[in-house]
Amino acid sequence: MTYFAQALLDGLSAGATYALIAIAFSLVWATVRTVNLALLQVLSCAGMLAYLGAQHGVVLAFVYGLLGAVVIGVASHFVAIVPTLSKGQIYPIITSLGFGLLLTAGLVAIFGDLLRPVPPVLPEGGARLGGTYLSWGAVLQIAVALVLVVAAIVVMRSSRVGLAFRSSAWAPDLAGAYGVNLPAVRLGSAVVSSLLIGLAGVFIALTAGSVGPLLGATAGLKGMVAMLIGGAGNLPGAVVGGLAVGLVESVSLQYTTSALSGAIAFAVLFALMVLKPSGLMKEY
Amino acid sequence: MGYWDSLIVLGGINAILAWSLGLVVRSGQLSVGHAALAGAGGYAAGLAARAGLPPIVALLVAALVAGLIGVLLALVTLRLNHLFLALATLLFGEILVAVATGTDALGGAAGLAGLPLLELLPLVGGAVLVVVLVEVLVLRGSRVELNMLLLSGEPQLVDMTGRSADRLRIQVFAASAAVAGFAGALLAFQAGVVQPGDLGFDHSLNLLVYVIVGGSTNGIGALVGGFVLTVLPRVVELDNVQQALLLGGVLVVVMLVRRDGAIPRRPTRVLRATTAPAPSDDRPTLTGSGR
Repeated sequence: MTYFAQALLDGLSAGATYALIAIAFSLVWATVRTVNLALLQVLSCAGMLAYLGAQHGVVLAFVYGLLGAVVIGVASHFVAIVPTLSKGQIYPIITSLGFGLLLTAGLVAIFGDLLRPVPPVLPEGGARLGGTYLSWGAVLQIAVALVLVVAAIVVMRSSRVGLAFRSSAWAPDLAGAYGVNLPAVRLGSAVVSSLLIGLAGVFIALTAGSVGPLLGATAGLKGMVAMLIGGAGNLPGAVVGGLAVGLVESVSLQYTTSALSGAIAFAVLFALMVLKPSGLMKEY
Repeated sequence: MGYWDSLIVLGGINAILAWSLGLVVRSGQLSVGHAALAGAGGYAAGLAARAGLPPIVALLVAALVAGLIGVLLALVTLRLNHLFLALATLLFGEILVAVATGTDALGGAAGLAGLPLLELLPLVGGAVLVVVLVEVLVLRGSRVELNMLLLSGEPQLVDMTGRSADRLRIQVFAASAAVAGFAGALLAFQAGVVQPGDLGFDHSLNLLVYVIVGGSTNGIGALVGGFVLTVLPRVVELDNVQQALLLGGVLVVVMLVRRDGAIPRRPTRVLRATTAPAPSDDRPTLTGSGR
């Protein structure tokens, strides 16, 4: 029972990060109806920059990671998304995939493809409850993710900015006619999603204790799957999807061998995608 | 086998793989699991060869097994499109990687080693020739090609011609998977080993880059893309990082300036008439097709 509770708790903290990533992808989806795959590598970049910053303390880890994420995320927005957006859903996806390949290659060229140990800059120790244990880093991670996720949902649902975001995907021309500045809205969603995904990258780097350039291909991908499982463009759905991915992963890891748990986790996610292509929740 | 021979064989195999993926891409479906289908073929051929079957039979077994897996994959993903299909095929590939790693009968993480090494140059050359002939003589300008093109944009139109769009989609996927499995078996017999890593999505992504850079609407383009992008980086001796930079850079440039790839399909009159976008598509609309 304690094992199971611990697995749930681990899944929760991993799921909080996946939820952040999923929300980032979901915000882009909610404004332009496509996916910026380069955000996966923005996650890796943020992680590696957090590794550099962590040499000089926890504050710089966040500053480097978040600044880098915004700069690279916005660059990918202008290179890969803006010029291809009018051509249909698939072209931005492929172009941003290419931009992401470039970013990965750049990271590997600079850092090599091995994992780098990140100095422990978060407070040590953790909370104990019953037989379970959660490090302070993970507690912080869950708390920050919770606050940001709720904020994102509230802003998207009930503010004029959120309305502009949503309408620019539903009816771009009509929204433009009503005075919504489409390029600004799209840029805004790129900045916010880069920030969120950068935050996820920094948290992963600091709590996992090591980070490598292939972070985007592992954690990032799971976050994107979480977005689709939850329902593309639906923010609460992204949270549910993120938690689902985290829980499936940690529970299957608890009860089987590592290779097999990967197969089980992927199979569950595959089944969810196939059986419920529209996601668990509909868009607004 | 000399260095150049084996390089040309590898280029030929990748050309066939890219062509097989190109079949699917031309029908408007984005698969990021083709390396896994090829790897399934490699494993099937490896098991068949170990069971004592002659290599040529093992190759056919590989095509059959991969084709069946392709049918299954197409059936379960029939409702998915675009990004959803891409991610589902990616997950499918990773499932196969994990299964291959976790199954002792498949050699676990070390894979199947000690497979017979074949003299592949004539075999691969012949296979490429067959593919080119099929592309130019059978597919080009045929009703099947037209329907595949329609499937990518307007699947309802396929249904309206009296053929089933779903069935066509499954058939295309099956054919593509069978060819990929065959090529994957060739790959296994060239390396003498097939490992779980061969099925990973980074290989699938490379294949996708070959197709899109070479020509996503044209089988010949995919063939050329697969061959050139395999051989060129090794001729000018790029390391892995430079190779990845090259592929990523070429992909971005192609998507921005020439999005049907280096060798697009020049439409015949029938194709042009049927698939030309309606003139109103470029004008702004209220419901927003222009996103």
